[in-house]
Formats: sequence, C-alpha cells, structure tokens
Amino acid sequence: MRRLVALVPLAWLGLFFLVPFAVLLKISLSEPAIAQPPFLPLTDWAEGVLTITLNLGNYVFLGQDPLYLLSYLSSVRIAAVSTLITLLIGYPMAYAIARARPARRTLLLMLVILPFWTSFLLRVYAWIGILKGNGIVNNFLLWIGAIDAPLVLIQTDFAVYLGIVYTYLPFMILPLYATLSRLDASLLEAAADLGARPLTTFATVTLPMSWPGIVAGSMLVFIPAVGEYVIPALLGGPDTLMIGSVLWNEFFLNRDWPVASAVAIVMVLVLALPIALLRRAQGRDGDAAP
Amino acid sequence: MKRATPLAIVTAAGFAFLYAPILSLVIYSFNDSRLVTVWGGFSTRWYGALLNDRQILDAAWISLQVGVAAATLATVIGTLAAYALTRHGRFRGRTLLGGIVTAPLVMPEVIVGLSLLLLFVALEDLAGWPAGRGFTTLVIAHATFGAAFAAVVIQARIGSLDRAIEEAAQDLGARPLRVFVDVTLPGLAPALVSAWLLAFTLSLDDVVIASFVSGPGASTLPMVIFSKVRLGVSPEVNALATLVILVVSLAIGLAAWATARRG
Amino acid sequence: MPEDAPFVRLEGLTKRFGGFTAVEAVDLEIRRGELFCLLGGSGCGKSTLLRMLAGFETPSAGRILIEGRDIGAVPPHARDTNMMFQSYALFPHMSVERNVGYGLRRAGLPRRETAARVAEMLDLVQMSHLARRRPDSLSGGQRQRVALARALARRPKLLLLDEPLGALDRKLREETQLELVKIQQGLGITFVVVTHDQEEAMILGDRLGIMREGRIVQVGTPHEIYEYPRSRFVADFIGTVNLLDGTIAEDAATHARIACPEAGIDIVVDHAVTGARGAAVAVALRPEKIAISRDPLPHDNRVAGRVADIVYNGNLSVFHVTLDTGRRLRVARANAVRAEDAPLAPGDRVHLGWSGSASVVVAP
Repeated sequence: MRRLVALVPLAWLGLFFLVPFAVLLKISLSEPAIAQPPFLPLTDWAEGVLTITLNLGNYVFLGQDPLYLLSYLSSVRIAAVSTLITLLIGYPMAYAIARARPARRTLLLMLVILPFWTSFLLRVYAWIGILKGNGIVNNFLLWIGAIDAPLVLIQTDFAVYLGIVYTYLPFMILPLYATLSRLDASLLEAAADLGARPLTTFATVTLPMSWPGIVAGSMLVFIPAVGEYVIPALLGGPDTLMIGSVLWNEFFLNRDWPVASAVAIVMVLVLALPIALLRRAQGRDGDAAP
Repeated sequence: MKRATPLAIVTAAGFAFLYAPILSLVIYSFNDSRLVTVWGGFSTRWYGALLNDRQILDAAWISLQVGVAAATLATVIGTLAAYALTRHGRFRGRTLLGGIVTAPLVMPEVIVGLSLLLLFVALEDLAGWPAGRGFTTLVIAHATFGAAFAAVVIQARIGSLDRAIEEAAQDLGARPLRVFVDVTLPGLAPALVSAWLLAFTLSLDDVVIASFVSGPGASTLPMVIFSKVRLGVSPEVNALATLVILVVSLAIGLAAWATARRG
Repeated sequence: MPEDAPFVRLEGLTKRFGGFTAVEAVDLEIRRGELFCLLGGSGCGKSTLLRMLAGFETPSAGRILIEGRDIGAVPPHARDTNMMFQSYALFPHMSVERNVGYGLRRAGLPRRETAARVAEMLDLVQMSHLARRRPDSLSGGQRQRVALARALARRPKLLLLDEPLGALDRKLREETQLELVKIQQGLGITFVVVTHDQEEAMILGDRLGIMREGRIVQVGTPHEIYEYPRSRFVADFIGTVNLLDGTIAEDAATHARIACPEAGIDIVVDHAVTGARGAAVAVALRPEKIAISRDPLPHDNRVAGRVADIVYNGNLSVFHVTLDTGRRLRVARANAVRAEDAPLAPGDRVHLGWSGSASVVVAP
C-alpha cells in the first residue's frame, strides 16, 4: 500500500517522461529513411549477431548547416532579451503587490493569475488584431495623424518579443512576489534606521534578498521562451529564426524525425544550465514556482 | 487623492498591458464587420456563427472530454506523488521522483510533444498499444504534464497542513487509509480542486503537445483555433475568446465568493 | 501483577536520526496513576521520547513495556495510549463533539454510548455549551480543553501530553495547571507530560525526569530535584542557584567540609559526600537560603561583602553581593514589609550566613 503510493507516479512519469527521452536520444542516432516510421532501426539481428549502428550523421548535419546554429543563437538571444524586459516590468509590479495592503494584495495577485487561466493561444491571437496593418494600433495612429501609412508591426521580431513578454509576465511576477512578500518589513526599517537611503536600502537589502525570486522567475520565462513555437508562428515573420519552429518544421514539413530528435536533444543540452539554475533557486527559496 | 508614485504608475501600466489585449478581444467580438478591427456596428452575429460551426463544436467536445479525463488522472497521480514526497520520509526513488515530477514544468513543449510521440510510435511498434494516435494519447500526454503542476500545488498544501492532525487521528485509532480519508483528504480538498482546474485548463489550452500526439479525427479546440488564426484574424475566434473569458471570470468569481463565505 | 511494579518501563531506549542521537539509552520506570513530567530544554529529546511512547517514532534500540508487555511493534492506532498534541491538532473540519467522539467511533463503540461518553467528557472539561462549534471559532483555552477531552475519551491507560499548556498565556496557564492535576487525580489515569517550563513541571508533576542531550540525568519528586540536585546541570536548570567550586577537605559520616577559595572559607554541609579528599566538587546554594544582614550572623557558614546591585521583584528582592574574594553571590529575601526603616543600598557592607543544611554538594 505504502509502496504503491510512490510507485504509481514513479511508474507513470518514468514511462511517459523519462523513457521518451531515451527514445528521443535513440532516434536522434538513427538514419533517416523513407519508411514508416521514417528512420532505420539502430539494432539489427543478422544471423544471431546483434549489430548496433550509432549514426552521428544527424548531429554532424546540425553543425554543417548554419541554419541550425543561427536558430539556436537567435532563440537564446530572443529569450534572453525578452526575459530581461519581463524582469524590468515584473519587478516593480511584484514589489508594488508585495507592499500593498492585504485586501488589495489579494485582488492584485488574482489579476496577475487571471490571464493565466484564460487561453494562452487566444491571448497571443489578440495581438494579431492589435498589431496588424489595419489593426488597432495602426488605425489609432492614422486617425490622430501621427503616421501616413500603416507601420509594419506584425511578423517582426518586435512582435515576438512583445508576445513573449506578454505571455510570460505572470511567470516572472509570481516567484518575485513570493520572495518579496516574505521580506520582513522590519529589515527595511532597520536599514533605514542604520542610515541607508531608500535606494541604498533597495540595493543592499531588497535586491540581494529577492535574488532567488529573480533567478526562478527569469528561468521560468527563459526556458520555455527558448523552445517557443506558437508565438513566433503567429506573430513572427519569415526572418524570425527560432529553434522551436525549426524542430516543428523538421518534424511536420520535412518529416525528418531523426534530425528533429537531434535538434531536441541539443536544445535540452542548451537548457541544462538554466534548468539547473532554476532548481537551485527553487531549492533555496522553497516553492517559488507558480 | 494620493500623488501617484512612479511605482504605482509602472504597476498600473503593467496591468493595462496584461488586460488591454483581452479587452480588445471582447470588444471586437461584437463587431459586425468581418474585418474584425474595423468597427462596423454592434452585432452578435459571430456568436451565432460560432454555434453553427461544426468543426469548432466537435473540437470543443473532444477538448472537454480529454480535459476532464486528463485532469482527473493528473490529480490522482499528482496527489500520490506529492503525498509520497512530503509524507514518506526517505525512500528509494525519492530523489528520482522529486526530480521527474517537476521536470515537465520546465521542459519546452516541443520537446515534450516530440518525445512523447516517439514513445507512442515505439510502443505501438513493440506492444501494439496505443493503437494509433488520438484520444488515448492526448489524455496520457496531458495527464503527464498536468500531474507535474498538480503535484506542485498539492505539495505546497500538504506542506502547510499540520502533520500532528494526521498523527492525532492515528493516535485515536484510525488506520492509515482511514487517516487519509478522514483527515488528509478534507484538508487537501481546496488544493485538489485547484490542481484539477489547473490541469484541466492546461489541457484545454495546449496546442503544441496536442499537435504532436493527436491523430486524424481527434483535433482539439486549440488545434482548430490555431489553424484558423494562422490564416489571419477571425471574428468567430473573438466570440469564442469572449465566451472563454466569461466562463473563467465566473468560475474565479464563484471560487472567491465561496472562499470569502467560508473564511 | 503486583501493585508496586512499574506501569511503564523503558529499557535502554534509544532513537537515532541519521548520525544524530535524539534519545540515548534511557531507563525509566513510571508508576501507575502518577503524573510524570519530562523536563528539559529544546532539543533534549523529551518530545522524541514521548513520540516513541505514542508509536510515532520507532526506537532504534531498547524496549518499551506497558504492564510488562513490549509494545514496540504495536502501531499507534492500536496502542492503549493517547496523546494531547502541542498544537492540539484538532480536526478543523469537525465540530467539537465530532472531534471528541472520533476515537470512540474508530473503536466501534455503539452510537448511543459514544454520545454519552462525549457528553461526559465535554462536561468534564466544561465545554458542553460549545459542542457544535468548529475548532477555529474557539479560543486557545477552549481548544486546549477540547484536545484534552478528545485524548481522554478513549479512556487510555496512559495519556501523553506534549507541552499541554504551552500555547496559553500566563494567567490561564496557572488556572489550567491546577485543573489538569484535578482531572488526572479524579480519573486515576497515568499522565506523562513533556514541558520545558520548570515551574510548570514542579506544580504538575508527582515526579520529574530531567533530560539533557538525550539522557535522563535525574528522576525524583519536585522536592528532591530542587533540594537535592545531583549535578551542577540539574541544580542550575531548576530555579536559580549559586554554584561554588571547591575540593573535599573533610568527609565524615554526618557532615563534610569543602574548601572553597572562591568564598574564602571552608563550607560546612550537613551530609556526607562521595569522593576522596581533594576531589573537585561544587556546592549548590539557593539564593533564598542565605541570610543577609548589616550585623555579623550566627550561621555555620559566614562570609562578608558589599552590595553591588539590588533587583526588586515585588514578592522578593535579589541582592547581588560581591564577596571580599571578589566572587559574586545572589541572595534572595522575601519583602515581608512594604518599606523597611533602613533599607540596604548598593555599596553597603553586609554579612551573609547559611546553615549546613542549606547547601548541597553536587558533581563539578
């Protein structure tokens, strides 16, 4: 009975989360083929001899075609810049919520969480209507006479940044709020009492103490942003290079499962460090995840 | 009137940023014009069109079924994982369980989707199950990442429950299962409801993983919406979004009211 | 089973958590019907010991015998013990009466009997009028009563109480202490109470066990513990005490002399000591057992010094006196009148004296 309690989730998550990674790794080492499924088996039983063919060709291919390297770099850049912007917007908001009176604090927190419960897809979609050629922003600017011709806002990297910041802002605010709300107000008073000006107090007490929240929030934005597919697909243009889209296209358009798998494995390696950082921050900070 | 501080202004602007797009969806859902953002007068015609769109209705029905099944499974698995992690002390596999229970939270969806699909293909090849992709594979995929979120929510709640209450029940003669039913479950109830709703919402919202693991004839609502909006804005989608927002607001309002009444 | 045989017997009871030993080789006997207090600072292992009695912790070594039966393998829900938790651990989603009746329902008692027993218990703790309330609408004192009633309802052979009054404020605490003793005596159930409050232990306990670093260092009645501490630690832990280091100068059958350079005299005590001549010992001397006066005193032990400080406590005054040797002693005197004609003031020269029966020799 006791054993079963731990065994059921272990078995489930093992089978449907861990084993898939093994399969992913295996297929990334297979040779693509026009078949169903579209790759050749790694192992071969021929006359009682087991042959294992490890094929690093897919990884070599990733290194040779600059598209992949550029996509990884571009994804990391877009995710990093978006994360920074999200932090700059999210920190003051989390700070204001943490310092608000209790009744208002609950309301504000709910307002942060509420968008999370409405559809992510629909919220990204809303930006199409706002940004497109005859969308709300352009119509408004034309109406007040600020511009003569519509600006190209959609299908740009700008729109992708906007979409990521918009979508992941709650993921930044919540862990920041968690650390900031636990910050004892008397610590700030003690700093002030010992002669620190408000800005000095912020720099020497508040900021260092909210560091775990900053790391957790940043990683919660950065990690999914690197692999983001829907936002660049809806808001980005043909020049927007993101590795999530590359993986998607390899799989759905080129039907090259082994290359798609190799792309995924490299992405996991790229994200290993941020994931480790996140775990450390959450370990230090208790439960900072939303 | 208090003087607005820079902090208050930034915060207000931040909330405006969060809500303006949602508001625009609602407003333009009542627009008569097909061009969505060019105002052509008030109309509810897109709601009518939505209710006659078989493709959307079928997809919504599939999504609801998948969501209910996946959320229920996710809550059960998440509860077991959270309970084992917080109440079983040290056991073999604890580190592993603690690691993999939160891992799906931070894995990009494209990776989760692709790897699960590859697993399903490999399993079908080896064991003949699951036969093809569709409802079953969708439920498994959504239950897996839903369980991760459920476990986090429930773990936080178990952590805040007074352990002595369970010991008291045990001390008064209740066997372990009885303790769980009499004391732990009632204590967990709010977290179980949140966890279920969270897993349900995530399932109802997912487009990337579903695209990988779903098969012909099992298109979920987000998949249909995604294919529609890739071709440009669609007033029907605005109407659908407004309905979603309405339902969510009602549910949250109801939850807040229930909490306030109990508290 | 003979009347005077121990009711509870612990043999070499040990509990280790990883590399940390919380309870170490405890041997203890608790008598039927007594109120036994386990007293010690935080982290001394007293709660772990109690939790082993309840069955929440499995001993790493040793045995627990109740009426001669080893209960080590009996799970908590099957033990004839009940516990009153420090946090009270009332079920928040059940009314007061459902809380109290919980253990009876688990025991499968008929409904009518359960109702009668619940009523009886609530009456005992004077909570009948709040039977239908939820715990969160009760005050701290009321919750404490419900927790007690719930733990007593199953008529356990042994009731374990973990800091039962720890969450109450001082005034309520004093009232409740006496009430708890009354209930215990009325029911005749054996109580084991864990507390960190020495005053509370003295008031409640028939006997006390003093714990330190996982071990029981002394067991005895409150009087024995206070007046005859066996170690420096116990003397210092219970009440306030002056501890004077010295060596054995003379050891006779009826008295002993301890050479004490700190005090500048050989201290005479009216009991024999164990130890060779010249062995290091300490003399424990309670502040209230020292007489203080401007004039020389007739006691067996006499020293002189100057008042350094006076702390007024209301019922008594504590004088900090610096002896001619430089050592400071604390002397307490009851404030018998509202105001003295010529009260002592800091700087005054004073004589101190105490009899041979006032001090006790403890291990250094």
